[in-house]
Amino acid sequence: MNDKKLEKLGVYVCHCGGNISDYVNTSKVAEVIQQEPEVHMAKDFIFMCSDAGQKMIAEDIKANDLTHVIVASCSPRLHHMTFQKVVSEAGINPFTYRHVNIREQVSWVTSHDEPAATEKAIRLIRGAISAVVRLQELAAIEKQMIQVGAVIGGGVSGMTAALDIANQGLPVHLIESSPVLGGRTLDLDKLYPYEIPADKFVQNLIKKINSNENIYIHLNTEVVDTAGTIGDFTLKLKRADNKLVNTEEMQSFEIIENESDAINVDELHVGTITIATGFDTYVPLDGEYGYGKSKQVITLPDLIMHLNSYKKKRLEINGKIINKVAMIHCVGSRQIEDVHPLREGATLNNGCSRTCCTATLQQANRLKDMFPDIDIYDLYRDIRTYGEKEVYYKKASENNVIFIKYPDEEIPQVDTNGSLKIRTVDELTYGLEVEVEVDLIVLAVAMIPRAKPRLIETLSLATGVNGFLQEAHVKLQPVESPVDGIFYAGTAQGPKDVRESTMSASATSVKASTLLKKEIVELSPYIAEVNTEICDGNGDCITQCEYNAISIVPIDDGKKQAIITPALCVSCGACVPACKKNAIKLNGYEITTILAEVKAMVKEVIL
Amino acid sequence: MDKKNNPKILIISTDACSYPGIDNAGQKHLEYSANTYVIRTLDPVIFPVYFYLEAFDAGYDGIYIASCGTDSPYKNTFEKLSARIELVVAEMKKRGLHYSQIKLTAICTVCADHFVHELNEFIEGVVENMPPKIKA
Repeated sequence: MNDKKLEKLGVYVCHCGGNISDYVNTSKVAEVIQQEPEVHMAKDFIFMCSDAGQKMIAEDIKANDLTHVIVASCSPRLHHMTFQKVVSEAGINPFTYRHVNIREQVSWVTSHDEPAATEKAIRLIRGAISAVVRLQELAAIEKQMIQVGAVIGGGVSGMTAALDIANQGLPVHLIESSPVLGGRTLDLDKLYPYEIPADKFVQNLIKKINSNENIYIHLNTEVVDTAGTIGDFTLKLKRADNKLVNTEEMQSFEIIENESDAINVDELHVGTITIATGFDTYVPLDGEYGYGKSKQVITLPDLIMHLNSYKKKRLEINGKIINKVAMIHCVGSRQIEDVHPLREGATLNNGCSRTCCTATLQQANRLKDMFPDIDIYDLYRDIRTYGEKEVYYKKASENNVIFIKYPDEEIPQVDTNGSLKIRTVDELTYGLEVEVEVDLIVLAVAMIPRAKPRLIETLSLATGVNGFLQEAHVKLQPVESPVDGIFYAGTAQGPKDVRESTMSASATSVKASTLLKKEIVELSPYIAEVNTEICDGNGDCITQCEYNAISIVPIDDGKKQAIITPALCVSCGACVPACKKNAIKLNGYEITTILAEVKAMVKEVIL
Repeated sequence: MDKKNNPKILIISTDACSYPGIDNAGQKHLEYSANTYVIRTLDPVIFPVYFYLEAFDAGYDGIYIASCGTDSPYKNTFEKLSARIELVVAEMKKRGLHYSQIKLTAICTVCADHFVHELNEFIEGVVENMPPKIKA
């Protein structure tokens, strides 16, 4: 704490040009708040965020030796940092500043009852007064940054992420578990929207990677363990000796490991980690739509791979000439409980895989282009060729693909005894039952999370309801993990097409590069802290921490104590209530402070 | 204020999800009771059982916990929070408080309408089940 008297508080009530003062009696608020014992001065003003408003606050701080400042105005999401900067420049610790939201949460939701809105504003400010005098002075934690990035996964997302980081002049390690770069894109046909052949797209990326001196490629290499935190992560690598590099394939894609890359590296030290480990495709259950019972039931990736090298004039699969094809959407996606079969121990995948409608219709059109006489039945629940991808649907319609919309809860039945038959109900013809004899059934299988439990566990990452890696915030932090310095790219995070994957990789790289460019990284001061005088080291807190941020260490006289690794703490607060002795607090969010705020808000207001 | 029809509600919000969602209700100028007070946390999992009980003791008639649900950026906190609220409800029962005076829910960043609808329903439930001494 500074030497100034603790309770010398300035409270500033903003009119927001009428957005607040039209519904809240702001001068009355200032008048009532002025009576609070801790308050040295309370003022209302037309725009606190204006230059004049900010200048007034700064001058008041200096002239009156204020110790704490509260501004009651719009949401803190807009101007908390503005006023933190004002008070900081005027000599007050920015983490003791408090912002009260009397616009979005008062005036804009109580526009027909000025006394009630005024009373609410007063109560909220009283709560803030009670809290602000208890706030500790904090400082951001500074840490040296290792200015080297790592990207785990060498598919198109990983390659794009690595290239974008490298193009910022930063060294980056690209770690791929298989012998080649390219990932699952190598198994595709042409890519939306420009219909570039997938292999050409991958080759182009690989050429750029090989010519970039900032990228260090590690093929056949798994990350088996990690340690450390933002700015200084350690990755333990294992190069799979039994996975020999396919030199023929390597040459065809011009991948050449530099001499420096070929060193059998055991450990890497990096400042940020980008996870681009991709996805797996759903494998249908034995008998699901006839899969495994008939060789003529295949998956969409199987069909694409088959066609990629197909040269004959008539389509032949597994020794059978194909004249009629049925394509079934949503296999393993958008699953409904008690409707879709599940593997033992598997969880329901109720998410849409987003890409398979487009991919299915792209292949339907491809089949029609290659074999015009073929008949195609497309069995779908909803066609989700979103945005410009609708052109595939339009073309399929023009190609006379026959669309059959089956009900969500009545999945098509496949008969593999004798000739291959498919039966379903068509909602487009008001529930007409349809039975078609076909030569081939193609299943549009789901994108599912790639099983990387070790990596998820060692990096303390969160997964969402469908098992994909979950970002810190879907809109505000869409490529950031909850762990500082770890980012997501591509389909590790959820179903995406190639364009979306590379876009997310570029977004990730901006985030990673911004950090890597700094020599010193500042970490949030809102971390858990142990009161060493109270802690008896019983370890109750450890079981609640999902991020390995707490450890128990021996101290004098054979006693133990919990310690927190600041950079590993994500500020969730789960450890706080675990301690029966109340020996842990979350800085900036102390329970005693919040309780004081909560209690102060219910005191009677006399207007 | 008329306590019977206008109970005092504490709303616990989260930085990542419900606080922006509640702000969004304001941006849409959706009206709801003025006797509601929002506090902002990183995750409500931080609060021990006694926090809720002391809030009731202080004079709140209802506590509405607008969490991130399973979308929480923190691992397994919703499960831990749910278990904690079960303990709170058990303690509330001992003190003659009704379970309808607390609600654990999930509010997203754009759940403005949902928030107002749910909050109004919650307040109705609180009013309906207020203990007689307060209701009178």
